[in-house]
Order: sequence, then C-alpha cells, then structure tokens
Amino acid sequence: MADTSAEKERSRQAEAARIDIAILSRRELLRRSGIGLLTIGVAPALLAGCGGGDEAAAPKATGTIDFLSFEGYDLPDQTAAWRKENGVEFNSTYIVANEDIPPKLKVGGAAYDLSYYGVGFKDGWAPLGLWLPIDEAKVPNIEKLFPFFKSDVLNAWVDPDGTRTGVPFTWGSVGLTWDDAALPGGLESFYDLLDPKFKDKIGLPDDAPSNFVLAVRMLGYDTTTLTQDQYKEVTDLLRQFVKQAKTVSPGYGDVASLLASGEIVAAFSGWAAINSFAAGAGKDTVKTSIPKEGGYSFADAYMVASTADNADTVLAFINHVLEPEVNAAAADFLVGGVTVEGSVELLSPATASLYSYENIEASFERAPLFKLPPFESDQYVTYQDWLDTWAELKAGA
Amino acid sequence: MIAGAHEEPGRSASWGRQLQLGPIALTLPATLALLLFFVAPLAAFFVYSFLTAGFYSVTGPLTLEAYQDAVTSDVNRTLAVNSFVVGICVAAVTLAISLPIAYWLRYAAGGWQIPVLFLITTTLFASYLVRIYAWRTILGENGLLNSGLERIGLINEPLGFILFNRFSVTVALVHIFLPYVVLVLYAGFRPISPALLEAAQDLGANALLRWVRVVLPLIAAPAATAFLFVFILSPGHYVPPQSLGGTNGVLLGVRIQTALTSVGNWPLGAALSFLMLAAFAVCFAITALGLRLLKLDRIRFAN
Repeated sequence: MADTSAEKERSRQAEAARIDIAILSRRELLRRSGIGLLTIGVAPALLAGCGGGDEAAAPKATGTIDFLSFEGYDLPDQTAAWRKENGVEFNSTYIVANEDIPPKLKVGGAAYDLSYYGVGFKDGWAPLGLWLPIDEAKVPNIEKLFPFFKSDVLNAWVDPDGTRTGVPFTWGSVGLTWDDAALPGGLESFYDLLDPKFKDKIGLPDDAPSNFVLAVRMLGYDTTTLTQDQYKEVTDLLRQFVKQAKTVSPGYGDVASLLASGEIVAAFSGWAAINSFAAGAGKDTVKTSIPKEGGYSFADAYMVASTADNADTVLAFINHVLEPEVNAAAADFLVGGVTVEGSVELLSPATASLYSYENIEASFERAPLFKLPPFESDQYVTYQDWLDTWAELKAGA
Repeated sequence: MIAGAHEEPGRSASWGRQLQLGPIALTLPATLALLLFFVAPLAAFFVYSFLTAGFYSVTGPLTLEAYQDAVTSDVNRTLAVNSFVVGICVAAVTLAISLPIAYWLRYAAGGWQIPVLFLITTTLFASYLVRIYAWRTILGENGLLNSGLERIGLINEPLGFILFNRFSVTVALVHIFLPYVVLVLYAGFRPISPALLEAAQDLGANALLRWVRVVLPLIAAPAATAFLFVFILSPGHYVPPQSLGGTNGVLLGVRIQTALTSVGNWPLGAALSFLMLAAFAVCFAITALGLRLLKLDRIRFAN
C-alpha cells in the first residue's frame, strides 16, 4: 500500500510538472530549467568567473540598458554580479515572437539599446536599419569565439564589407524528437512520421520558419530561391505533417508536455532542449537527432539597436557574455550551445551532451544555418508567403 | 430650520440647472475615456481594414482587398462555420447547465446560497491558462477520465477522440463561461418573486407548467443576453483552440490573432474582426427582434 501511495504521489507530481511545463512560455521554461542546472552545475564556476578575462579592454559600463528580446536572453542571473559591480540596470521588454522586434524598434516609441537577431532574419531585417555597426575593438572577447562563429559564414554576423552587425552567443539544432521508450532506437527519417501508424501520435510546434525550413531541406530546395512550383510541393508535404499531427503546439514546451504525457511519441521540428523540458516533467527518455534528410541550426546574436543611447555599455555587456564562464552558464540556462571555445568544459553534463563540439563545422554541415526567404520578391516565394500559408495550414487548410 | 426650505426662486432655479448638468458632468470622464481609449482606436482599426497590407505596416489608398481576402478564403469560411457551431454549442450547453443552478440558488438554496455563490466566484480567480490546461489532464489519453474508465473496466483503450478537437474546445469554453452565466441568470431571477411560482402552483400548474408558463417567459430576456454573451465571445478566444483544439478545432479568433501578430497582416486581421462584429450585431438584432415579437422584452415583474 505504501508503495502504491508513493507511486500515486510520484504520478501526481509528474502530472503537476507536466501541467506546469505546458503552461509556460518557451523562454520561461528555459529560465526555469536553467536555474536548476545552474544551481547544480555551473554556479561555482560562474561565481569564480565574474571578472577578469579581457573585460578590462571593454568600454566602461554604466547606466541602464534598455533591452528588447525574449525573456531570458538578458541573462539576469548569469550577469547579476557584473551588473552589480558596474551599477548597470536592465530595463527589459520581452517579446513573444521574432516578428515583434522590427515594429518595436521602428515605431515603438522607446529607445532600446540591446536586442537580438536570429541568423535567418539577418537579410530580411537589414534594410530596416535596426542595428548599429559593432566596433570589434570594444568587444575583445570576440577573439574567444569558435572559429566558426568568428567567421563571416552566410554574412550572418559580419557584412561583406567587414562591418560587424552582431555577436552570436547561443545556438541550437533542430531535427526530429522522439520518445525512446515508445520508439526504441528512434526514427531515421522525417518521412517515417507520416506512417499511418503514427496518425495523431506526432506533434509539431507553431513555428512557421522552422517547419518550412525543414520541409524545404527534405525536398532539397533552397529557402531563398523557392519557385511557386517548388513551394506547392513544400506546402503539400507540410500539410501531410499537420494532418498527421495530434495538434499544432503553441510552443516547444507544449511539445515536451505532450511527449511527457504520452499523447505523442515523436515530433517534427524537434529540438534538443525538448529533451530537457520533458525530463523536467518526468520523462527522461525523450531524445533528439538529425535525421538522414538533415536538419537546420539557429544561432542568435546580440545587436546594438539603432535607437541605442548607451552603446558602450551594451558592448561591455556583450563582451562579458563572451567570457567562457558566463557563456557556459548562459548555455545551461538557455539549454543551448556555446559559442566560446573555452566554455565547453564548463558546461553541465546535460548541456554538454546536447551538441558535439569536437568538430563543430561537421555538425553545422548536417544541420546548417539557414536563411529565410526574401521579405520582398517578384521572382521567388517570400517570407510573408510562408507565414500566410502556415496560418492556413494550421487552421486546417 | 431645514437648509434650503425657504430659498429664493432664482437660487432654486440655479440648483435645478446644477442638477440638470450633474449627470453630464458625472459621466464626462467615462465618456472621454471611452472615446479616447475605445472609440478612437476602434475607428483607426476600422480604417486599417481598408488599407493594403505590408509586412507589419499598412499603405494606402483605401481598398476592399482585405475584406475580399477574408470572405473568399476557403479557410476563413471553414473557420467561420467552426466558430458558429462551437459558439452555439458552448452557449447552449452553458445556458442549460447554468439555468437550474441559478434557479436553485434563488429559490431553493437557503443557507447554501452565499457559500455556493462565493465558490462560483472563486473559480474565476484561478488562472485562465491553468483552467484550460487542466482539461488536458482530465481528457488526455492518460488523463483522469480515461484512467477512471479503464479502471472500472468500461474501456480497454484510452478514448483518443475526446481531446484535441471541437469537443474539448467546447468543454473548456463552457467551463470558462459557466460562472459568468450563472451570475447573470441569478441576477435575472432575483426580481422574480417566489410568490409568483406559489400562485401558479395554487392555480394548479405542475412543475413543468410553472417552468414553461412562468419561469421561462420571465427569465427569457436575461437568458437571451447570457446566450449572446457566450456566443459572441467564444469564437474570439484563441488560447483554448490552440491548446485543446488539435487540427480541427481552430476558431476564427486564432486566425485573427495570427494575422495581427505572426503574419503581420493588420488589414486582414482588422477586416476579419469587423466581419465578426457585423455578424454578431446581426445575431443581436435577430435576438432582440425575436424577444420583441414574442413580447418577452416587455415583461415587468414586481415583488
């Protein structure tokens, strides 16, 4: 009887955790899971590493940083000591989606100092003039980046003319996530998810760019030069996944919740962080891999907003986040990858196991960074087309 | 001496003017706030519905393009039908459950009236999201309902069709609206004296007849109001359809939310909103006309 009661209690707690995880936003989930990992894993290293490095060469930090990005990207706990030491305060505005950034920076009526962009959005946002050039001399820790992140791959962080526009601080890969208890050994291909036996047993997030990029990759096309005929194929393929799915989840936390509760056994647009979220809800058998068609990677970079009135402090902050200890703590907190070489050994085991750092270039070959379609084009399918079509697909079209 | 008992005629007229101005002065702040924060944005939003969409921007000149897109889209028509069906179901079920509760509270609850009203009110204090997600733990394949049915041997496999569809959205919305409708109907029953029911009983009406001939005509107007309240607000909710609706329980509110946020097509979102508003205005007019034709809107009751 005692065992049964304990079992019931464990079951109740697991269920409560599942509810908890389901109602949280992705960033809140990141924050909460990160706090736990931080406490057990990296706190000592973080405390030890709150100064030194090349921070002396960075500009003097002072005043307030008006921040605009996802909740958690301001790294409140990971940079708390630095903030206190320099008397820097954050005035943070949190967004729900990437699309919230351009209108707020353009017509928001507030002067933001620090924001972020994902690699995929770089080309589309560039004409909007959302950021200021970054003086690399004021961010000496850029030298500590992995060569891959120091490079000008896809001109994601450095324009062709050599102007630095952003500094990558976290990244991740997206592929296929499954519950290894239900599907031992996992699945090799995204197409396996379309097997009739998985009808109403798979999930996918309400993330148009992610789903479209994967579908485009599956068919071997280029996201930036998609013709209407190719687009029809992509849309038809994506429609099959939506119709096969139990539901289109509002976010990645919700996908984790469905996996944890056993409602689904696998997910399209899977993300390694889902493993951690599901484990937090009592399901530690969730795994993510890049299937044979390949996946994609995202990399998020801080930018100095064009409305910044405290740019030097922003650069000092960015420089601080590139300290190995802080970068590792940020990765633990965000359940992501590190961009600084010296931070790998400082990661908690759980975060370190997410991605391979031995040959980072090879990892990005299987799951490359991507560019979104053009925001305006008479020749090719545009990003707006993706958003419109996705809105219709998830509504049942 | 009572102040003002012997005031001069001129002074009395001044008081009269002040009394006349009083209501206007008192409602002025609320009127201004409504004009500034409701009517003006709504008017701007209305203008947006006639502009051309850019990416998180709008451009002129005025056009009916957004309305054309809204009404010619197959998806929007499907969602409109979904919204109508779910709205009607939610309103009908909520009303059917709330009527007996409100009736019992007014005429039979006795000492339970205040505690039960308090309990109904406290359900509103629970987080909106928690109330929605709670249904996942109840209706899920490993949820309370399926586990319970399996345990008592009624089913061998979990019922997969009770979550992630229109049914689960309807259940969640009924749960959300129930307290409001109970309170509205309870307020509707308040002025109806128990003496009326007793008189009907004395005149030989059985329980069914008392309901049909006395209670329902008297509660028709508040019930219609509650029905419209639920019917109009249900399709606008976008969280329950997203969280519990699966791929066939999506409502128009989700489409509007998506158009205004992730897609950035403000004219389409505005056009869909005003089309919904127009549809609801028509429903309201039909209901009001129906009540008038049946002479149910003029019933006056006195204790």
